[in-house]
Amino acid sequence: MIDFDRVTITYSDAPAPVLRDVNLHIDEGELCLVVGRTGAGKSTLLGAVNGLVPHFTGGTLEGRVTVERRDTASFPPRELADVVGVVGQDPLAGFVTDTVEEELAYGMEQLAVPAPVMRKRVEETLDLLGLADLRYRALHELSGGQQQRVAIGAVLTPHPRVLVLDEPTSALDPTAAEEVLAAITRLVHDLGVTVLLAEHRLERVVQYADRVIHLAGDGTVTDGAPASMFATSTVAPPVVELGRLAGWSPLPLSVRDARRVAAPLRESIARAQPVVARARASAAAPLLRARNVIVRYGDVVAVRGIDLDLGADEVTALMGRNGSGKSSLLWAMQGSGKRQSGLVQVDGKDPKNLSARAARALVGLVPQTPADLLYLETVAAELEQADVESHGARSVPAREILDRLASGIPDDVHPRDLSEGQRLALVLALQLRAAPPVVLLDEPTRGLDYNAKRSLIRIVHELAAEGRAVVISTHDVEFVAAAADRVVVLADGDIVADGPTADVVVASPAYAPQVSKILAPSRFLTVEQVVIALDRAAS
Amino acid sequence: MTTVTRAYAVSDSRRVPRTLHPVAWWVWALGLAVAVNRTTNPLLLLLVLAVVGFVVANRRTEAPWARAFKYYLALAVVVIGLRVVFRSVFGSGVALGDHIMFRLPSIATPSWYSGVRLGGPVSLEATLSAAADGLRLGTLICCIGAANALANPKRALRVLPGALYELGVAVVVSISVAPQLVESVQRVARARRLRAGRSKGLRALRSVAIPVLEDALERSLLLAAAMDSRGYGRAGPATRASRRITAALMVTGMLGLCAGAYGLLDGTAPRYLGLPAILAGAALCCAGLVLGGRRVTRSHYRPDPWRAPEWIVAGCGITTAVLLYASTRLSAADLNPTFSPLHFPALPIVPTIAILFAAVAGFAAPPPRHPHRPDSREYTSRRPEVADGTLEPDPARAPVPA
Amino acid sequence: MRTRPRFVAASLTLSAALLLVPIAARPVGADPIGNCTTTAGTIIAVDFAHWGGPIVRGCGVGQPNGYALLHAAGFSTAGDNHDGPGYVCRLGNQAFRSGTQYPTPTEDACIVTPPSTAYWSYWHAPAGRNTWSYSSLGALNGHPQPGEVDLWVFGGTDVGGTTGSAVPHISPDSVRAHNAAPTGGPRPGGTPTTRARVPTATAPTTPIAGASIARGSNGNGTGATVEPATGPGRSVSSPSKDPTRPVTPTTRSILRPKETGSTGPERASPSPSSTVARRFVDALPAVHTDGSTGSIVPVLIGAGLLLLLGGGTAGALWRRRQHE
Repeated sequence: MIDFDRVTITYSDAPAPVLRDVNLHIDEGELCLVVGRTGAGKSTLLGAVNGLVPHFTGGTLEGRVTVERRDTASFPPRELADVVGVVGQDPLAGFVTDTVEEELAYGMEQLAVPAPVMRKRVEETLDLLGLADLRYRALHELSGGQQQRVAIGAVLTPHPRVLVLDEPTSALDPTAAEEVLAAITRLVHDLGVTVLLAEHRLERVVQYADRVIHLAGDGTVTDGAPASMFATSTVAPPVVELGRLAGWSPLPLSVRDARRVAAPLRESIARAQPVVARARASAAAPLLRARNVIVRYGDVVAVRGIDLDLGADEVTALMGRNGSGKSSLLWAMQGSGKRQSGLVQVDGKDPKNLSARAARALVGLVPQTPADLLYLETVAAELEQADVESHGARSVPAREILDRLASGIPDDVHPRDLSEGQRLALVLALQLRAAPPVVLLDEPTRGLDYNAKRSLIRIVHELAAEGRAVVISTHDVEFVAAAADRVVVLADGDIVADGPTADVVVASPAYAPQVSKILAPSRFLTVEQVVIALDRAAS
Repeated sequence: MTTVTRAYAVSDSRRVPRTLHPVAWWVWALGLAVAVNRTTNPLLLLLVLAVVGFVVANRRTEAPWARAFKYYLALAVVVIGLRVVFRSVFGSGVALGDHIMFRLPSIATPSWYSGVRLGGPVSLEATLSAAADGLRLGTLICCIGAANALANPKRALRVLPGALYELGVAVVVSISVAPQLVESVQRVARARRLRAGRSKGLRALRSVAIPVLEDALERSLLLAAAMDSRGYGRAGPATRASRRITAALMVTGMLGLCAGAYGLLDGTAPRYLGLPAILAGAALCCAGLVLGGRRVTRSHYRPDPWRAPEWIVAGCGITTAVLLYASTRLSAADLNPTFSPLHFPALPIVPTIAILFAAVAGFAAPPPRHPHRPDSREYTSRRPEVADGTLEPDPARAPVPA
Repeated sequence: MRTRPRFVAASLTLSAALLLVPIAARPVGADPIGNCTTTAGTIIAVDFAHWGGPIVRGCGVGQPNGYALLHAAGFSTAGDNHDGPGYVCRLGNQAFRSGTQYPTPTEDACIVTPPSTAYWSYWHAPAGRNTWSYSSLGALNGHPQPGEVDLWVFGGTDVGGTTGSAVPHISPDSVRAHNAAPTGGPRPGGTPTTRARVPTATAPTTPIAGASIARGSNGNGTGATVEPATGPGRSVSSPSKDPTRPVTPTTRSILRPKETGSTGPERASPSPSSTVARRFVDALPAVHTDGSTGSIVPVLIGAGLLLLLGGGTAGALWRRRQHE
């Protein structure tokens, strides 16, 4: 089906090849999970399948990549469109037409599929992905999950033999992600489509994989059965880490399998109380008080009268599905966003009534796309500019802040060339330069791998320990379980749940982390807690 | 399902909603535009605007591009305002007996520049005549806006022959990326406050422009990559030479058509620019079409049919244009009234009827399909019948080359 | 989409503006031709030859610009929509076809600047000069000097005014005022002046083939100077080319080269072989239709139609809103 024959890919300005001497053979009807850390070359590997690498991205490809006996060297992506369908991270960026139906038909039109056949396939695909009610809807009106399903449907209609999905759920909330992944597994089982899937949040997909392709990060690629591959992989979901810790063999990949072998573990820690992630100072007066905050855009009410207190040395996770008002609330609290009515007070002042400079000295916000704040050529220039902007703030120079957040980011690099995690650290450093007591992070976990998330957790805990109030909006339950002291769940602009992480997260299956599902009724949330409990039991 | 259909038919309209062929709307709108070019009579121009507004209000869909008509109207108002302001500032003189409304301070221009006058008295006559002039341009803009609001621009581009397909897709990319650009400008402008950078000057412009442009570039590349991997631009069986000849024929033909249209629309253009250029252009385009048609590698999902309503709508536009063209000699003074001396514009009968006739399109075109309206019911009711959801391998699938 | 009311409002405003503005009585009167002498006043002449008409001569004393001069002499003008009244697009005088302005709306709609092949070109000849200088500026920019002669010719020239159908075929001196005794103003009722003036023999008498052209050194907005291609002699009377208008006894004619070629007898392309007589007519004062603003009925009908269509639009918008 897909063959990589001694493939080495080198980008023009890179010192070393991204992929080195890769040999792969993928059979028909397999669901292959591509795992690896950020920058290990997952996207490059996926792009090489239909020739986008190197036809579109540049660089050189040595060796041969063949799909259904077609060599990508002589077949550009458009000539492989009938064999390989590609879905990217941002479905909106790849839409060519306006409505669901037209988008589904577009690929077939390019392949000159006769009109009656097109009609039939569009109807079938609408039903297969549950899109029939949306057929005339404008694409940009759909929710993220619906958009991603349309994007998958749009590449399915030409009946490709291979489906390549590059992090299809990274922008989705847990429910929408489930929706998309369920659709993908159904395709594999019903149609026998070969699927290549890259995904950061492995806990969602690992149970469906037939095969795992692991990119070590040095250009080498190994592949094998999931259970054997995860025993040693550099990235692993919590269920695997727990399995490794407990020494289960074969390694369970789903909550169900893990639960069946976890009885002895549950027994051994049944009496242990999970330690709280970090010790906290007793709560003093809240740093930020928000009262009856209402945000509306025309007829749409995004935030409906929310009251919220943020205390010092507190990490709060803001959860809720896409469009539930998380971002609007963060922006309203910072003072730069819209706020129809309500009151926000930090240090006795409302940031909305202050100058931008005074407002950011009270509340710092890292937006969803941190790159929006970057406009200079080098990291050093950005840091210098931040020192100028925050002149007089009681804080160390931005460079020192950055080194503390993420060491080893060189001065002369262009901010666009940084990895997601490094860029996040840079923007956070710029915002921290103003020494705000309240720090808000809007979806910082997007596109971060497990290691990057781990360092983000460390940063967040350090910030809180310095006496700040930290708010993180995120969809990532595993991250929340490890990072947050408190969880606030929003739905349709209202707070539906607010309480300590363990209480809120365990209460609903959608928000429960894998460890808690495996070890219920014990209230363990993270592997670290289990490690500590086991250590204590042993000593 | 029949009962649903019948109930719907009786309650809402006797006709099945569907979208009209985009070319029919474009012919209609261009016909009106040609008519507008023949007159500066504000009554007639306002009538054209009213007709255009009437048809758009009755026959546009709810798609985002269809909601843009109000922006064209706003642009028209701006054009009128600009025209009046320019006429007032660059004083064009006051005729004897004009009604002076106010005087702007007059600025003496140097002798080598004495052709231009700045300031001076502003007369009611000059203002009215400038407004009428602006109204003509504004109405033209609204005619084009109506075509854009009534006909899906992307569907309209699909009627482009294969040889010009590449051109069409460039437009599609810009149409898709433009609204996203607006969105990212808003996002970055809002984010800029977070850094409290300078709010004015070159640096402020840069801090918005650079993230926005990088974003736009990235999106364009993503879209281009997505289109490529979905089979856009597949070569098909045509040779490189035949594609080049087709493209050359089409481009030359289109140039001829443009020049001809200019010649016909602009009364002062030389005569040979009009009909002969249009005919030559059309001939070249036809040749290109025939040649390009040989390499059809695409098919159309739900091709727009061309039926009686299309003929009527296109006919309305053409009739309006022809009637106004013909009446240019009959009622030249009424079509282009002067405001000096001040007097009411006349309402010449033939042009009025011609313009009103264009409103027939509002009735002749089938009602547009609304995504949330009842006609989606029939599709939801069909759903359980095919709910099995298996995609059988299709025998008609294009053969895979070995 | 609350736009329809805007149209209605716009049309109502327009009609209201037209209704409410008081129509002031306009000054009527023209400087009598006799006020102009070799040292005072400026003679202004308009050549209607393109329409088979005469050269209409008028006089203005102490006028600030060419535009005022035209009106002082009794001519009526119309600007084009694009450039305003300062750009003379049409010219008329009571002495030629009851003041009809030429070119007519059928010939030129006067919306945009007329084409360079058919427009009123403006020529000057200062006192003492017998050559025309082409004015590259409009009527509002010239400063008529005492003793000067101004001429408006319809046709086309190049940008320097050296070639084309609008190059004058009469000499400035044949138009120029001479120190005759001042005469009275125009007769009441707009009857033609009857004073016959015998032109002095200042026109060149040598036949010239075509227009001989000399570059003018007048840098102040003027182009070339042109030797007139006048015919060799003058006939005192000639049959009028205008069938609608009887020949008046004041008419005097000079001969000018007869046009040849396919452009018709009215086109001014000179030929040395034959000549036709040119009639001179004195300008008559403009007759104003006092306060007539035309009928308001068309505006009312138009407003009614707009209301009707606006109603249909409003209904459609209302239905649309109901469905959303």
